[in-house]
Amino acid sequence: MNDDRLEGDLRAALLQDDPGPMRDELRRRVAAVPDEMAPRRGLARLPRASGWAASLRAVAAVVLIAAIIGIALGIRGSNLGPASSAGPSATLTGPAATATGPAPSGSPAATPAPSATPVPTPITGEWRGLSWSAPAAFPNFEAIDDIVAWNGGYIAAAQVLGLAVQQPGFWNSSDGTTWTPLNVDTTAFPDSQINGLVPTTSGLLAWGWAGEPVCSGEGEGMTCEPRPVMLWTSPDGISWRQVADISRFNGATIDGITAGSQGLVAVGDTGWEQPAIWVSATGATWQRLTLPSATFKDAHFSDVRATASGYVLAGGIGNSAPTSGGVQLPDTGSAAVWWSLDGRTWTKGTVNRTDGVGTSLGSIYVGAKGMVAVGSASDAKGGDAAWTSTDGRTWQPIANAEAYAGVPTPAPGVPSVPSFTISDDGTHLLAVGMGDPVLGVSMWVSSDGVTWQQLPFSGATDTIPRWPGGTGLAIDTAYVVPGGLIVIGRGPFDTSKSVWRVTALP
Amino acid sequence: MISIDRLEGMIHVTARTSEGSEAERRAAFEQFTQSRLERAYRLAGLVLRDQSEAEDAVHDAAVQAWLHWKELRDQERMDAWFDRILVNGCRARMRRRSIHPLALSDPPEAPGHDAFTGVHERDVLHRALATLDADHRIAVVLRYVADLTPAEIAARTGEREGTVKSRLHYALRRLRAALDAADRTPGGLR
Repeated sequence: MNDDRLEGDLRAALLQDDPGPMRDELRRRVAAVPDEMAPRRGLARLPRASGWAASLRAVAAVVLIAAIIGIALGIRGSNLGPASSAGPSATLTGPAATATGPAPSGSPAATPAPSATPVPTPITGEWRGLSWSAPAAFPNFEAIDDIVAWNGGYIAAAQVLGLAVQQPGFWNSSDGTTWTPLNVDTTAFPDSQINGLVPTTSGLLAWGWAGEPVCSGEGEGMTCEPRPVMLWTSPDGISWRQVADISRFNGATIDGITAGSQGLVAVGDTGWEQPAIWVSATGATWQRLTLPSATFKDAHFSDVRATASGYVLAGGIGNSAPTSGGVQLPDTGSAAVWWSLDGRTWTKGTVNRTDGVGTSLGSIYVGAKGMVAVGSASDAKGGDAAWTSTDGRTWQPIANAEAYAGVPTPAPGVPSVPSFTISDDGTHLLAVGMGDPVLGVSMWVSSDGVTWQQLPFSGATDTIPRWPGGTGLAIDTAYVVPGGLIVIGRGPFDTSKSVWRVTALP
Repeated sequence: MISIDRLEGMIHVTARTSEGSEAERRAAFEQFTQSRLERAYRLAGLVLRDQSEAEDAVHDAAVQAWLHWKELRDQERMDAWFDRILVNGCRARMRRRSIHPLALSDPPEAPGHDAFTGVHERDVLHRALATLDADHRIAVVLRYVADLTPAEIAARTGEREGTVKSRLHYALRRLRAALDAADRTPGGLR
């Protein structure tokens, strides 16, 4: 069946669910809305994320719609990403980023940075609760690319709004709530987008691509050419330089970069059936490894993470080439992992399959005592698949990945968590559920991905954004950082994002 | 291209809302919502597959629209804005219902006569559509019923355009797989 016919039949099939004529009762109900709301007009509005957001409400629609497009954050196509691709063994020894830039804004200005509250000393031991700060205004990005803990503070990379071409910007913060734009020479970033930041032994590595995707075809058959890989290094977060030997990445797609005790490892491919691993000591120069076919036959990579003992690489074996600009749905292949002590010599691990005809392993999240891998499956249910591992070498499937959702299966009669995502800092695994009927967000912590503990909230919980009906995109991103989280979010009618520093409680 | 009638209507609505009196706000709200109720109800119905839930979703969206009516200054964005509220409400309802995908391992037996093949394919697709989760179903409905572009869908779902394309791709591929599965069964489609 060709695409046109499929789409025609799809329309017809959809219309089988047509609810029938609209009843006049609905027209009357909607017409009565102003009257119904009249007695409540003096009640509190939906929570305001920030005073700054409120002051900008006058331009709500224009900015809201523009910003809405950037809501879906996360460098891996999910709403919430890990704090960084760097594992716990990444050494953070870069020199201080000088916070002398202008005030928070989409474009640099000349206002001195406000003073910031020092980062609290991270607690030791288990997290037993989370205390939310009052929200602060976050620079009005189109999309946050990454936030990493670095040099005793935090640094963020994001796309600047309102420019004709892609233009990344950098901000730093000492407390996670007050962000100061860094006066970066943007000529190093021609029409570029940053996908991730990785702390290295000599500063920071940024990776991404240049230009817009060039796609052909429509619908199911759409394919996109890989965009040129771009890598940048910086000793201080301000002075950035393109990696000189980028030719080693010609025609490549990078799926993940991580920093471990043995250096940097990047994984990706130079075309379907052509998996690639690159290694580097500092990020300035790179070497592409020759992959033994016995170990990597029909391999496709999706993520790499540093662990306490080395590196773990996630992907699949077999499966069909992706279309739609890189979207991969596993069909006939199987999930696969590889592990390495030094990033150069790799051994294929064991992924015990779930049911179904095809699986693929996507992202790896690292805790102190174990790891979680989230992927997808093409079985009868379709959708998410997940595994856990204590050593990165042998992975056990989660029996019901959709119910697993990173949290315990709710008891009968208890509303399930309607959505989830996982992030980590290499020590703490954090599962975020949206749609808590009271708070809008719920969070669980784990060190091994098997046992999860819900974290009660305290502090300014009334400022957590909630969408109508108690559900929706309550928060955009939760980055796990030392001692807690940096949470980015926005209420349904706020025109800019807000940021919360969420402190872990013992 | 925008029609003169629509432009005049927008100017009319803009003038009313910008003046800001209670009566004028109510009139503008009523004009806006009543002209969009049929479409909103149909979209919600196709997403939720339940008449009562669709009505409640539209009503809830109208409540939110009224609560924030004064905040909206860019009238040209009102359609996307209202759709956004509606879509979020539908997504929330689907997730609260904990909709579980239906198994596809047992496609309906196909009739042998060509005249019924199209009907049978639509039945297979209908069953497969029921297996899509909230995000994918919303994308499919907005694309193939509301005829919105991926960019327009992205503005209504709060996702990047690429994410919308991914969702559409996934959904189409999954639906095609369902058809293929039915085709492989004895007495399949062809």
